[in-house]
Amino acid sequence: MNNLDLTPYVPWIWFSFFGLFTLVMALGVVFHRKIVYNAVFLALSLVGTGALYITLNADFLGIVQILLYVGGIIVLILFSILLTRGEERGVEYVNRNKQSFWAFSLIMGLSLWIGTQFWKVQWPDANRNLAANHWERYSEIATIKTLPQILNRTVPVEAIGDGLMKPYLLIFELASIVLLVAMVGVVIYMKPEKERGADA
Amino acid sequence: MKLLEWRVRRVPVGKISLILGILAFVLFATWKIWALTGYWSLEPAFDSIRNFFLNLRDKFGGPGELPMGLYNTIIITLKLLGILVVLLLIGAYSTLMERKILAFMQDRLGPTRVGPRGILQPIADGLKLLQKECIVPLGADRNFHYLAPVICFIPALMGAVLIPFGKGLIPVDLNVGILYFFALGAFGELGIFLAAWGSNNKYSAIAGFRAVAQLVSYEIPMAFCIMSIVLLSGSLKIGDIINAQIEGATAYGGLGFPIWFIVPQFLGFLIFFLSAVAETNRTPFDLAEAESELVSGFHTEYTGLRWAFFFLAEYVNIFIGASIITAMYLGGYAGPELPFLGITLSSVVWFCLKVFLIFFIIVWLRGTLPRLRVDQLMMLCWKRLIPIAMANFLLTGIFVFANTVRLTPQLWPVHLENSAYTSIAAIVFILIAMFGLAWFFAKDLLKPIKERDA
Repeated sequence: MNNLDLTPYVPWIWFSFFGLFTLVMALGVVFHRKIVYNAVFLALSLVGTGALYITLNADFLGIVQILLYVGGIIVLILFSILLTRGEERGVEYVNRNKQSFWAFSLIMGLSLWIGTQFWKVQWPDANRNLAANHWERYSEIATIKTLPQILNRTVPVEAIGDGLMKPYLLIFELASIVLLVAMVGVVIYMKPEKERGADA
Repeated sequence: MKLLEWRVRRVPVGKISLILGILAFVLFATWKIWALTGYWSLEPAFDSIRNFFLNLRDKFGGPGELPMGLYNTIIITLKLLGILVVLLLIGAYSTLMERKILAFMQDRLGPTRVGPRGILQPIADGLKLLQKECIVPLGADRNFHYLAPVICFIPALMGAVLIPFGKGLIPVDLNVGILYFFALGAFGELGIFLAAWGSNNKYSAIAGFRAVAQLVSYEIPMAFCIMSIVLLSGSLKIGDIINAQIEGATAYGGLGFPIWFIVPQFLGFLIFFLSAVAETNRTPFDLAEAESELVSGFHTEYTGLRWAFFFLAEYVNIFIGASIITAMYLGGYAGPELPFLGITLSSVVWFCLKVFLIFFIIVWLRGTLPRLRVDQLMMLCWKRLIPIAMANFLLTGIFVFANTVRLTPQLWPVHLENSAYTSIAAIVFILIAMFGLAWFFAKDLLKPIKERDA
């Protein structure tokens, strides 16, 4: 019976499960015809992405994903739907422009290209080893008693803080400046026409 | 034929998928908790359950040795069930506690009929709600109407893994700790929105507006308060935050002297408390479920058990919020050891006392204050709480910097004897300077709204 122990593969199983979940929900975003359902499917898809991060032991990233995307962006989308009432209840909108062929081929080409790039990239050593002989690693680990420690290799929050404040500080600040510019732009854009003219 | 038709039509696809989803979620949570805690701390329970299955094998035959992961899943599921039952009881009895406190304030008796002094009232209420029919309005969006109470209720239960019930009794001391609690609020917003939209009712829709605007706004001062606490304690873990208050230092930081964070963070405590009351939709911030204006807002169209889920979620959320406030500002389970109880039990008693104090204040607010208007609510958040919280955050940064200087004599501008007196003098100086600066920043903001914005 011990040969049937699936414990070492539980993370991989969960990863595939949540990957599938995210994809199915993303399909729901694309194919459902009610806009509110699209938003909720998007929320579930983003929750699935957060869960993917958590299965990969990046807990902080997963929580931040859920916090920002579900708590912030999805709520804003839902709020704008509530405010605009862009659709009447029961009316279904169908996209009638004939772009599906070109859109599909473009997306397929793009994903093929990105996939090949992923294949070519020289990943860091630790990951490559893990991917190459994970069978040996995990079968070895399953027998010795360090499995909790191995599974518990979460990315420490300090590492993220160090990364943001030391090597990637410039990029981080630039991103925040972009956000600031966007926010100022929205504020100016939302002003009535006269006030805008008076300010400028 | 008719029977067959009925059956075919009534396959509850939504319910089945929902149950499967919840099952998958529970399994995932058990696995994650197991991966975080490790099964070595669970060894005795693990062994007993394995022995149970082995005995079954010996008596009746069968597979016997199950895979390890399954044992762990069973154990953690049992633990989670235990927490679930405790939380449901807390949620149910909070209602009784609230009614009793309100009755005391209004010079009434409150519920007295069921059981001695009304003690069994929540159970009677629960049974009554169980029997009631769940009505779905004709024009409602059935899926959303069905999903909303679930989405409100699940995050309330998920928050339970963070509650530091006592010394060594934190179910899972997550690495991301307090952010997790924060992320759960997002699902609450989603649930309220779905309820509001799914009901297809103008009162519910208005409530949805109000709730989402309110929750999104009040998250910001809360985040600033949490960041200040993280600056002081140097960690996101709940256990570390409490330890920083009890022992003065953790592996990553801390002040160097034990102090409950309510002292250096009094403004933060007030802001966090108000925001937590607003986040749980309690009076005076209960605009989303205002009975007198909106016919109880987003759950107008709900009956029976679904309605009960909203209320349980609310009370469990209050409990979780009170626990987080206790852990962040009141030293968590810190307190002197009580006679005859031992360290662990007395820590549980202290924790429960503090949580009850916070709960009492929340009910007190409900008993005394009228509801704010929408514009007052938004003004309070954006023009008062957020600037004060930001100033508080800045001051905390200065405070932590000054404290670091205090702890490293090489950085001192004047050479002084490093003794207890200088230490205490420095601490007092830093605290006074901080309060002075806080007052300087906040005095303008604390004026009545009319005076300042006229």
